[in-house]
Order: sequence, then C-alpha cells, then structure tokens
Amino acid sequence: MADMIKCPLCAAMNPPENKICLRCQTPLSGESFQTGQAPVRKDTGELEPILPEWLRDARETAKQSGMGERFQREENAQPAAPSADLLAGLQSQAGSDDEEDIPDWLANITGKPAPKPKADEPKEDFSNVRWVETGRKDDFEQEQAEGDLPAWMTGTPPSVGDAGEKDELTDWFRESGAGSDSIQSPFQSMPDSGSAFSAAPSSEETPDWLKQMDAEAKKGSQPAAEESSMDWLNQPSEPATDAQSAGPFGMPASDDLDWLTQLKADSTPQADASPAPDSPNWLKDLGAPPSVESTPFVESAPAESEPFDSADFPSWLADETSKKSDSASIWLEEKGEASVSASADDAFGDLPDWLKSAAPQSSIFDEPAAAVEVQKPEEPQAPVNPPFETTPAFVDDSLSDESLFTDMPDWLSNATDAPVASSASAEPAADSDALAPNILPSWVEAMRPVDQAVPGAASLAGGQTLEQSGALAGLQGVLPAGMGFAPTSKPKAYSNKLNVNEEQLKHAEIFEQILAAETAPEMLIVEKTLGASRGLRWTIAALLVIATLATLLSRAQFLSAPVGVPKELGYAVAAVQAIPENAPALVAVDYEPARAGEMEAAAAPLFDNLMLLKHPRMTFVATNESGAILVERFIAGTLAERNYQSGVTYLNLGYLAGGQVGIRAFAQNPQFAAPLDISGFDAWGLPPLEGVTALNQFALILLVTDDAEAARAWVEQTQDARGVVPIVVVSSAQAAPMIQP
Amino acid sequence: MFPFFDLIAGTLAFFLTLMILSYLIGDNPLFKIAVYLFVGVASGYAAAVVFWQVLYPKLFQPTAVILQSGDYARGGLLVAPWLGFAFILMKISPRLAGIARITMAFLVGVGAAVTVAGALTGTILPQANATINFFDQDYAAARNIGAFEALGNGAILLAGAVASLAYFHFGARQKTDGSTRRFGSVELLAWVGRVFIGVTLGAIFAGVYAAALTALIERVSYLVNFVQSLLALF
Repeated sequence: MADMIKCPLCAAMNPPENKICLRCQTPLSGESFQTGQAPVRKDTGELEPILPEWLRDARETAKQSGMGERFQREENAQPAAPSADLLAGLQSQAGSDDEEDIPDWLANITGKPAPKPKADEPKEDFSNVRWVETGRKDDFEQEQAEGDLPAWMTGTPPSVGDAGEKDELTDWFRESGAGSDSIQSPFQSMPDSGSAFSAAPSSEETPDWLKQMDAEAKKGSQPAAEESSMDWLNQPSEPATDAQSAGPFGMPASDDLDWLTQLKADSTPQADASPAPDSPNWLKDLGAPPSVESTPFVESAPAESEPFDSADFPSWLADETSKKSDSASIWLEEKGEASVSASADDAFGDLPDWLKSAAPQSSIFDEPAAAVEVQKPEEPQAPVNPPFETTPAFVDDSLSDESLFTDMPDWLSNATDAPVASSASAEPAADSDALAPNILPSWVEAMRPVDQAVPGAASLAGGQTLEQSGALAGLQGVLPAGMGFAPTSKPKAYSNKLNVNEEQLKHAEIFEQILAAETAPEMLIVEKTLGASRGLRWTIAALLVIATLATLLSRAQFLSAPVGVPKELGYAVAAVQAIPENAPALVAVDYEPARAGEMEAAAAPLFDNLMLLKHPRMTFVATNESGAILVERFIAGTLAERNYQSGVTYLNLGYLAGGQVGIRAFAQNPQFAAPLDISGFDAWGLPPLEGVTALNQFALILLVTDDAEAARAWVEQTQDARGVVPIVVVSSAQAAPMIQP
Repeated sequence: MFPFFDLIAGTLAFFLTLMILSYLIGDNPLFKIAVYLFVGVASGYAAAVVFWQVLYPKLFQPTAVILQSGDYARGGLLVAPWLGFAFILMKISPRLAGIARITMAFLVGVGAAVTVAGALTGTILPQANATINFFDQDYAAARNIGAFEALGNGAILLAGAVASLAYFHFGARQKTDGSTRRFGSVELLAWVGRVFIGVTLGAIFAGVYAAALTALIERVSYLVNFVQSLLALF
C-alpha cells in the first residue's frame, strides 16, 4: 500500500504511475488545471526582488524547516511552469536557480501546472499517501485542521481539464459540488465515461458528512446532472429550474470551460433569469448585470498577470483577455456577486492547508472595508463575503443575498474590491514589469505582518484583537475576546436619585422631626416673682428712714419695751454678778466694724453692770485685725463714763493671730501667745494681768462677736483650758440663733 | 464744740454714710468709691496690725534681739517661723512655688487637727450633754426649771435634733418599678426636720434683718446727731 496515490475525490487508491484516478478519472497529480492553454515556462526570477519582505522571510523559513526538504524534492521534480500571476514567478524562480523552495500551495495558486512527481520517486506506504494537491498528508501540521474542514478544502481539487494540471477553480468547483445537495456537482453530472465525481468515494475513507451529502446528492440527482455539457452556463437565461439543477456546477465533462466565457456574453439574459429557490444567492445573482465591483479574482489575477503576455494566460483567461483589455479575471468581475463567493472560495482554496489553518477564519482576512476603500475609494464596495467556515458554498434559500455577503469574511470582501485597485495599478505594473506592494492580492495583504501593514488602527476598527506578540503576532482576531475581556463602550450610567417608597419616606420624615426637635430652642418657663424693683426699694427705704428719723427726732417711744428679761440674759447677768470684786476678766472681741453699732449697743448694758458692780480688771483680746481698735473705740466711746484707763484698769492685748490655732494657743499658754499689749509693752507684768498666768485664772470670759463661727471657736478651743470659768457671749442678732444655747 | 479733727472725721463719716446709702438708687460711683475706700483702708489697717502686732513683736524683734545679743541658742524656735516665711515667699516664683506647699501643708494640717478636736470636745459632746440635760430633772431643778417645762423643752429639742438629722438622711431603697424612696419613718422625720430647719433659718434671717436694721438706725442716729451738732454750732 505504500507508494499508492489516493484519489482526492473518491479516495480510491491508485498506483503511483497513474496520473488519473482509475475510478473517477480525477487527475492525481494535483497540478493546476489550465483551461485551453498549455503552461508556458517563464522565468519570473526577476520578480523575486519585489517580493514582500515577509514573503521572502516565509520562504526562507520554509526552506529551513522540515518542509523545505519536501518542497525541494517536489520542486526538483516539478518543472518550472510559467505563470501569469505573481506567485507563479516564485515557482519559476525556484525551479530555475534552485536557491529557494516554493511550496506547492504557492505553485498551485499561480494556476500553473504543478510539477509532476517523479515516477521513480520512492513511494510511501498507504499512511503516507500523497495528496494530490497539497502533497503528503503529513507534510504539514494540518491533519487536525483538515478534520474540521470540508473535503473540498482538504482534498485534492478535481481537475476538469488536464489531469496533470491544477486550476484554482478546481477548489471552487469542488466546493460547489460538496457544499450543496440541491445543486448537482458538475463532476457528478459527468458522463459515466469520465466523471470522476460521479463516483462516490469509498465509505471507509469518506467523512460522514460527506457521505451524507453524497447520498443526498444521489437522491436529488437532477436531470441536469445527466447533462454532459456545461451548456447551462451558456444559457443563463433559462428557467430557474434549469439554473438550479445545472448551475455553474452542471459543468459538462468536457474539459472546456467556455461556459465561463459565455457567462459574460450572456450576462443580460442572466439578469432576467430568475434563480431557482434552491439555488444559492450567488448563483441567483449570476444572471444579474455584470457588476464593476471587484471580485476576489480581480485582485489576484490581473495585477499578477500584467507583467506577462496574454499568451501566458490560460485559455480560459485568454479568452476573456481577448474580449476585454483588463486582466484575465474580468470574467469573474463581471459576474458580480456570483463570482464573489466563487472567488472567495478560490482565493482560499489556493492557500495551502497549513496556511488555511494558520489564517484565522475571520480575522487575518478580515481586513476592514475601510482599509480597502482607501485603496480605491471611488469603487463601490462589494458585498461582504460570508465567513469561510461558517458559510457553506451553497446556502439555503432562506438566506438572503444580504446575509450571504454580510457574513463573508472581510478578506473576501476585500478581495472583491481588489480588482479595481489592481486595475488601476495594472498599467504601472506592466510598465515596470514588477509588482508594487500595494497591488498585492488582498489575501496576501491580509497575511502581511502587522508591522508592515497599516498600523493596527484600521484592522482594530472591526473590534477584533490584533495580536502584538507571540506566535500569533500580526494576526487579527485569532483569539476571540471572551466575556469580561472585551472592552466595554462606556460604564453603565447609574442614577443618583434614591428610590424610596412611602414607608421609607415616613420614616425619614419622623427622623427629620426628631433631629429638628433636638436642635429647636426650648422656651423656659419662668415663674413671675416679686422682684426687687426700684420703686419697691425706694418705698422700703423711705419707710425705714422715716421711721428712724421720726423716732430719733421726736424722741418718742412708739413701741413699749419688752416686759421681762430673757432667760439667757438672766443667766448672763447672774454669771457676771457671780465674779469676785476686782477679779480679772477676759474679754474677747471678734466683730466687724460694720457691726460695731449693734455690738456696742448690745454689750454696753452688760459691761455697765459689770463695771459698776464688780470693777473687774478687764483684759481685751481680739481675734480679727480690727478688733483691737474697736475695743479702744468701745472703751473710749460707750464706756467712757466708766473712766477705764489702759494699762491700769484694762489691758488691750491686741490682735491674736492664727484663728482657732491662735485661740487654742492662747488658751493653753496666754503669756506665750500674747506677750505684749497693743502698745508693745509686756502685758503680763501690768496690773490688769497681775496674778494671772493661765486661762482658768480669769474669773470671767466675755465673748463679744457677731460671728457664730468665732463664738464656736472660742467655746471649742477653750473648753479644756478654761475649766469652770463661765463664758458669757454677747452676740449679734444674726449670730444668736446659731450660738444658742 | 467739735474739735477740728472731729469735725473733719464727722464730715467724712457723714458723706461716706450717704454714699453707702446711695445704693438705694442702684449701683453708682459714689457707692463704689465708698466701698473701695473702706476695703482699702481696712486692708491697710489689717496689714499694719499684722506687722506691728504679729510679725514685728513675735519674729523680727526677737530675731533682732538674738542677733544683737549673740545668744543663738534662744533663737532655735525662730527657725521654724523664718523657714515658713521663706517658703511662703517662694510662691512669687512659679518655678519654686512647690516649696511653699510645705508651709501650707503644715498650716492646714495643724488647723484641721485643732478644728476637729475642738469640734469634738467643744461642740458635739456639749451639745449632746445639753440635749440630755433637758431631761435631767435634777439639772432642771438646779436651774429653777420645772419638770414639765424641762421635759417639754427637752422633747422639742430632741425632736428637732432627730428630725433635722433625719432630713439629711438620704438613704433609700429601690422599688420594683425602679424608683427610689426613703423609708416611711425616715420620710416622716425628714418632713418634721424640714419644719425645724425652716424655723431655724427664719430666725437667722430675722436676726440678720434685725442686725442690719440696728446698723441703719445707728447710722441714721449718727447723721442726726452730726447735723444737730452742726446746727448747735451755728
């Protein structure tokens, strides 16, 4: 089984020397199919310098990698085929100087026949069966990606014409045949003699979905499938049923693709033709008037083919070239939307598998339309092509044209715009015999690294992330932004108004009332009292003054004297009269000068009685500063009639300092506490104190005071020292209640 | 015939008395002048008395005598007053004011001790004895007081003393509703004590009023006498 070649269509195993499949007659070489023209060798090495830097780097990288050997081997086996496009020159160059390797996908893109594998090349086992178009199955790391891709992407494109050549339309055809069950694949409609697609692939090697599609295709084999020619393309104005059944894919088994050329000629009838409901939109639009809008092939074919002669074009392109001075793919350009999807598929089908998988489905080719518009602002923008993976080649009828083309990836839509730009730049390119970087195909432009492209603002306009570093650097939208990582437009606006209900409002009102009550001034309730008004004061003063003056001036006694004598007065008189004649008596004076009138009036009767009856030797001592002078005033004033003389019959010891302590000291040792009289003489040697050395040696203690505290101090501090010596207190009226009893 | 100086002194006393009585029309400058004059004169007189009757005879003169005689052994007792005097003067400086606390502590301590001892021996015990003596028939007979009178006086005095003390008893028990109230008996005694206290304060106020009225009569009498004396001159 090694060295067996697997048919990309029917998966039948074929000997390596076979160029076509024994079962389905599908070319096994994987070479591009060129309609109507044999490939012509052309040296395009001169295009090498104008290649983009990134492409040259990619080639270098491929050469250095393991694939380089594979490429080298294949390139050695393949002759340099002339190509009308840009990448064809690469292959040619590679074949000419053997310095650089061109991968097959690049060679296939050109539409030139790929170099045939050498017959004597060592064959591999069945697991290493070479894939017709993309080389060996494990040449590239696309095995896993292939599983996700439909067969038309991963398989070998069937060659309609030359079995040894490969055309970019093959993918497109293959897509058409695999993507729809309502439209019969042209290969399925091939006559039994040579249609490779009519034979179903073996069930073992065909994916399930492909099997299902194949079964459905068989069930729905339309009459058009039985047609062996592609005249349906030449009759676009036929009823929709015919268009639906045949369509562009009702390609006859004949190798001629003249139906494509007829499309242009019959564009007007096509516009009248109503597409069948089952036909895809792009097929429906086949009959539409030719649009000048760009098609994906316009950007790739014309510019790349400009430097070459029209003779280098394939026949199918040459026919178009002869009809139109523009590039060879104008036929597709004129087909409008019908060509869009096909061209998009072609553009993608030209890519190698590894590049397909490397290219993000909706990112790297999602070049924003704005970026394209910069290149050709005057051209109307083509409808957006549907995404490659999500949109099948044949969509349901329920999908409208708008949905179809709006879902197309940007890179496809850009590709539709490219022809105009390329057309605009076709002439300069032809003059200079070189390709300018700005006329590169859109898909190539999309593959350019970011740093060489327009700074990411344009590509980021689509809201997709442009990878800046790592293995995915330069790719856009490869990693979809997840939830929470995508930038939000602007923060959500929240209202600053508080939503409260009625109950909360009531509570808030109560709370406000409480707070207001706390800070509200509170009226003080003041009881009206009889104040000391000026009138009342004047009235009282007048009454008192008048009463006093009347009494003094009239010397009349309005009130009778109290009858009897209070017991206290009797006790005092008795105590005074009990002392011996000419006995020493101690008189303590402690009242304020303001009370002198009262105190003198109260003490004068007692002192008169005492002096008259007992003629005591009186010793005066004061416990306040003014007491000594008040004593002199009292003796000299009130008691002046008694003719007492200082130092002879009475003695003034003066001020006794220290309060209670002084009183206690005087009670304990009178001679030490008050050694001198008021005149500074030794008091204890004078006649009034003769024979007296202690407090208890006085016959009587008289206390004249207006202060209850002073009376209490004298009573308390002399309690122990005085003994049985009676103490008589003459007090003021205000202190009497506090001193009694 | 008034002596000249007596005439001047009597005239000043007359006008100063009128200035004090001018308080009837409210606070006025004449009243203030008289008050300030009295306060100043009283303070000056007190300072002179303290110096001439206390400091000089009891501190400076003995010290001077000792210094003159050279008998320092007698001056040992003078060290304490001089130290107290020096410490008190330290209050002039805030930084050294703490030293004055020694003297102040000594004065306050001695004064408190003297007061407590004097109150105990001179007021509390004699008052208790006096209250008890009213129930002593012998004591009453010795003082010619009848038994019924003595018993009645003693009962009133005892009731007044107990009731007045009960008024100042603030002990209470908390009730179940959280309020506090004194015992019923204590509350009753307190109410009686409040009556006794009211009567006592009324008597004190009457005595104050009587003393003030006496001073007024004395001053008015002085004014009348002064005027009459002046009129007698002319």
